[in-house]
Amino acid sequence: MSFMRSTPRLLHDEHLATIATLDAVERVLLSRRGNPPSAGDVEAQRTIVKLSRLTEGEMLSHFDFEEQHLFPMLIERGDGGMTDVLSEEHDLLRETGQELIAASKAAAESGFTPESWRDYLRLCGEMVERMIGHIQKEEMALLPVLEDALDPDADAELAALHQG
Amino acid sequence: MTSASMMASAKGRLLPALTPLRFFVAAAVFHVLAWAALALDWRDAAHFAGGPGLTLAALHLATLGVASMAAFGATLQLLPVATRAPIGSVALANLSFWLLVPGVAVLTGGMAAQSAPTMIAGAALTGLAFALFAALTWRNLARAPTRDATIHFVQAALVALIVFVGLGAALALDGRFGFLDRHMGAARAHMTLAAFGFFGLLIAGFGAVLLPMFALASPPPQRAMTVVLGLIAAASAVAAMGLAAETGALALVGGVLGSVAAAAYVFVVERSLATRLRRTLGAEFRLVRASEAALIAAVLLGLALLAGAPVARGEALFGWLMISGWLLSFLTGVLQRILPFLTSMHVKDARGRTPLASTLAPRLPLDIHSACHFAAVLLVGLGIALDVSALVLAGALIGLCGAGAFVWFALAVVAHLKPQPAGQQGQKP
Repeated sequence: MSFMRSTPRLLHDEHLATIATLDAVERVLLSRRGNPPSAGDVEAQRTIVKLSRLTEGEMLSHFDFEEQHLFPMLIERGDGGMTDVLSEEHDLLRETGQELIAASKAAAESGFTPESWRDYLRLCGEMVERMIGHIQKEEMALLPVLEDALDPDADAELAALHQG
Repeated sequence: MTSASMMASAKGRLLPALTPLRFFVAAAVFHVLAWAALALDWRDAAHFAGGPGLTLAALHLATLGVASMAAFGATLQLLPVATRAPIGSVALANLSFWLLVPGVAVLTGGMAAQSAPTMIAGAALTGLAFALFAALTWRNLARAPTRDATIHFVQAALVALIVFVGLGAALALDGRFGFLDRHMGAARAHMTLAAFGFFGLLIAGFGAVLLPMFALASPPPQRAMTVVLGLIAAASAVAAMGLAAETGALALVGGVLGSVAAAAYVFVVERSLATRLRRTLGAEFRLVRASEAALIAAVLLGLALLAGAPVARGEALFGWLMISGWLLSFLTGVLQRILPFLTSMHVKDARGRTPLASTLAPRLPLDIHSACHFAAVLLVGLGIALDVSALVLAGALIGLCGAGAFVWFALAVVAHLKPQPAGQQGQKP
């Protein structure tokens, strides 16, 4: 997917980074069932940290930017057909993200038990499926609309806001 | 536009759950009947070259029963999203279902029983269903504020629909009154326009939207899709004219165009999929890829037959590759994604949230269906090619098991829609 405007390109790049993290979650965590990873399992620990960073950092700033700056503009222009659905999905993803962070923080203190690991994997699976579905909608609907709707000035202003 | 009216318009494009889903469940049921009819006619199926009987019934259970049901349901739900205009009348959309189901049942029953009056009655009902569907679709297209590539595919498919339904009605009446000079030519033209003109254009048009969406890939460029549209439309029209008039050279030109069209379609789809953001493709793509291979094999075999190549039971094998290998593989692959997705938009989980589509769809029946489908297509294909009826029977029975598993999947998904007692809204079914 190629974009002429900076704003959809920045959002697209964030989607790519998110997908890379989710792929790692699937490959490293979800593909292994059974016992929780040991403290010495560097790849698993690194993936858990990456997922936590995504859910409490990049994901939240991405959603906030869309809700505060893009959705109102699209609604005002009459291009907001998807914004209610996307906002609802943001709420669901924030909720799942909070549960994931709580689970990984608890595990950081006392380690995963087999039961808490099962719960954690369930949340990982939910995060992957919901997030991939959400990115699908943004890539297919939101970013093309933005590419058409933004003029160069508005695009530069939004891109600066996003990077700032 | 206010957010309230925006929400209203978005909801207006999402039909009541049962409107599209009942088409998909009926498609799954007709899928079972198609394999059952083939299994019952296992001794003669390899030599099928037209004419009433169980194999003709099996063929129409697969095309009208499975493919048309899926096409109606998908078009009625997806077209308003593509056109950004409501379908107009949900009652009429539902009526098209209640005409099509008995129409297909009576028509295929008449074919199986070799009863011309029953076939005429079934053809009349089926024709009414198609006419209603065409009118609804045409009206939606006329109201569309946008003109993207999908819309042109649907327009061209509707033109093919009018001609193939007209030819189908003439063929049914000819069984009773015998007025067609070239019955087999008309039958071949009818099949070509239905398979490639109608289903082919809908598959290419909606596939160009759905497959990249499933794979998180860039949709094909508009220009490439316009070329594919022109090639499929030209191939279907030229081949149908050549076959109807029994003019070999014209049919051959249509065959060449059809081969180019099929190759162009597969190329465009695969180039789009190559841009996907995730390497891993869903399980449904095994069926989609198999459908692409079967399509290419079918058009090449069709071309060889039109060029006069002496392929024993070639027409039966061509029909098999086209209907079972291409159409059924593609449609069951796409339905296994659409059914849970659509259902998830109409139900809430125990916490009142939109459920994950994966929690609505059991994986086991889909795995059983895929394994059985691949084995069945291969075995029946070999049975036709080698003229071994036992292989046809074995394949048909395995296909029947797979189709049964697909019904299990479809019912398990739509069971989540069952009404819930007051005060328990949002409880997980």
